[in-house]
Amino acid sequence: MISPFPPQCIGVADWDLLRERLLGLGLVEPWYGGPLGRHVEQGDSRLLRLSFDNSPAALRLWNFLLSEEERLFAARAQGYRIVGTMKDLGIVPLLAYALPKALAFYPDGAWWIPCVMELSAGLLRFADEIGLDESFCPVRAMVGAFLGEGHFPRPDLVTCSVGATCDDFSAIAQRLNGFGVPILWWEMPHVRAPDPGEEEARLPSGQTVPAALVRQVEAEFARIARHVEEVCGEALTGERLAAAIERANGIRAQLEELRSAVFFAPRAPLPALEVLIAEMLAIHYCSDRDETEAVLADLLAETRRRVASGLGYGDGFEVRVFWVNPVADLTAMNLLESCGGRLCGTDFMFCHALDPIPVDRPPLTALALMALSDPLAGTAAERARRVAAGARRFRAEAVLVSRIPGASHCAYEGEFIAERLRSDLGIPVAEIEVPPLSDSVRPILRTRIEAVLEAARKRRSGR
Amino acid sequence: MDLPEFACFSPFIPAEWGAAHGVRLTRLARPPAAAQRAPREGRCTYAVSALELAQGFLAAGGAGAVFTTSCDQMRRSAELLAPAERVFLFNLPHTWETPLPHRLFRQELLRLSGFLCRAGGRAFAEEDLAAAMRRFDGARRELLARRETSRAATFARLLLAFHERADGSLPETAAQEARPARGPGVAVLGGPLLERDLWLLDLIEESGGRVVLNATDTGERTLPRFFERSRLVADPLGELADAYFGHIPDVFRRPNSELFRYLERELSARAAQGAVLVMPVWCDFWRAEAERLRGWLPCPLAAIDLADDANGRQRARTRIQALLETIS
Repeated sequence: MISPFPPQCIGVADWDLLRERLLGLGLVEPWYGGPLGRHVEQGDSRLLRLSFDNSPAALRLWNFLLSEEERLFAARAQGYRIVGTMKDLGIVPLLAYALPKALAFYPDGAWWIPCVMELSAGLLRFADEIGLDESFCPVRAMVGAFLGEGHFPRPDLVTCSVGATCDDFSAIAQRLNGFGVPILWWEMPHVRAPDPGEEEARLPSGQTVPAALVRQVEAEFARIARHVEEVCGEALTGERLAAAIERANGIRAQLEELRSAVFFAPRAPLPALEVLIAEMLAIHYCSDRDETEAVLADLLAETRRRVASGLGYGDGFEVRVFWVNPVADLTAMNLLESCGGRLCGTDFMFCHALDPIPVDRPPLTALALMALSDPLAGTAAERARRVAAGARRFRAEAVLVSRIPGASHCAYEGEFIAERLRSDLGIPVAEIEVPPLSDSVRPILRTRIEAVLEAARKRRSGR
Repeated sequence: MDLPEFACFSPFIPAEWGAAHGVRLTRLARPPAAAQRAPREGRCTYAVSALELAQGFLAAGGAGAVFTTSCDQMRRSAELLAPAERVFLFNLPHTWETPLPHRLFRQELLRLSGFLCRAGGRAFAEEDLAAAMRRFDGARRELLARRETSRAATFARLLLAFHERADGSLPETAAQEARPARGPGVAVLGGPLLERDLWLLDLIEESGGRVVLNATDTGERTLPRFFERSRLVADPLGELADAYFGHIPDVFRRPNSELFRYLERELSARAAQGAVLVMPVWCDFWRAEAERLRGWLPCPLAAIDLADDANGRQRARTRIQALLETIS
């Protein structure tokens, strides 16, 4: 259903009233639909502090996101095999989704639970108790979520990429393993340039890498595939994998269209927060691939209609901001807009889950190429190059690098990105650090965001 | 003629490999005095020291620097070094349970060989490698024999000097004070102990303890196993790779179960009654294991941040003294 109302950001309570009106106008919801307020009653109290887009498509998106735990338990009850894929963000899940009664999800996603439930789940307290204090990335919440089994069912298989990944995650996953959770570790090599005379391969991102790395990751995927087959009791054939890649490319194409429409439109047809959530669907389809396609189709239809009608947020003079890294506290995306910015380009650490997967080579080779495009597996300079290319493409006027508290890569990348952006595009760059609950540092965040937006406005006016 | 020198920072980079190429892979452990400016928040203090050491080394005409991907911090530190063409980042696999990472390690040694040759080394010959391995192996046996008669800091200095010389020779040692004969046995484990950190070992002994195991990243835990002589003829490179990658237990490896097996074996064999865990500030790998070790070790544990300042030293002193009071 296309929204009968102009775009407007509303709170949870208003959404529940609006939903009643929409039902009266013919809104039909999927089985996981319902008032957003029920999620608050179930403990997702942060929703009370968020502003949401008022379209039926956004309602469906939020209900889809917030029902994931319930849907995972339902899938388990229906006999689905569940693969917990950790860290690689967007590649290994395809192996599971290639089989008819299997699905994959990222236990990493538990990093948002402390935010969404405003610490009431006690996951960070548990992490503190086991020695994973706040010097670690908020993904430390994953251990308690895993062991408690209240947030998601224990997966039938757990994989984790290590090697060229952030130390926090590897260390936290090792602790999980120490608590008796079996983990299939796989090696993700550091992505480097070829040495003189070394056979080369080209990644979809345009980067040239040693062909040996591609073969190495491909061999690891073949190993993971054997485990997935074993757990699911079905053969992971080339045809099935190719079909899974085709579906993935369809979803990536939907997201590409959505991002282009949102970032290029004169007025933002969707708020930053909904764009973040929509992009997140790419990595494991929020545990349901069919629904992901449907949710994105609704968002696209709404976006197309708004763009065609000249509808959107703001007056078109907001500062165009490229955002780097996901935020531990979702309210930060609302904050950007309340400071006078709009989202025009993103690198939420999984741009390799948004790029099209090559279909002109064997499926596992194609997946290896995608895995090697992971911005965290390569150099900070390469990530900065991609951020600069994205900022140029979407005509960003400023870049915000959102540091993840405690994350090892965040202590290094910001400098590279700032240097590259300033030298290539001359646009202002600022770093902010967003903790899972940012209320206490909100004035600081606001000041920093406003400062970078002000610098961009001055640059725009030639002052 | 002096051999070309390359700075390195990982126990997984075999000095024998450098010797077979006519170069020295010298492991640096004496950082300059603490910088005036505090490092950026989140950066591991060891990685910062390694970066400073490598920068100074390259500026002073060193042939190159070899970093590894043992952790994100070291991997990313390598990227901050210039000139990039004199820096080699060794892709050190974290997994080890399948044949693939062992093959990769060997392939990386061969890639390092190419770098060393491009930077002034000579192509290696198997007989040169085997000869270097015999020399280093003998030196390590002799080195370990000195453990029994040396004070902990003296032995740690010997190890540092051996790695820094990187030519298979042992440093001369002056007449030394006797190793404490009495007192509770203490195992020291954790991240690297640089020259500036060795006061900790003295402190343990001055406080009445006996250091019975140095299982830090710069201690005996990270020495390769002794070589099998027969394999030095048949496949010296394979033997080298296996002695290092196949046997050094470390916290970054996945899973890190071999580290725990090593500790279980060695703590029992050395009759350790207490343990001191040393961690560079912002080292995620060791910090994450601290609580697990506390519950798993059969003896009390004092966890210490290796902060190179007066407050840090005082905190360490208090914790070590408390530990020794507990186990005495």
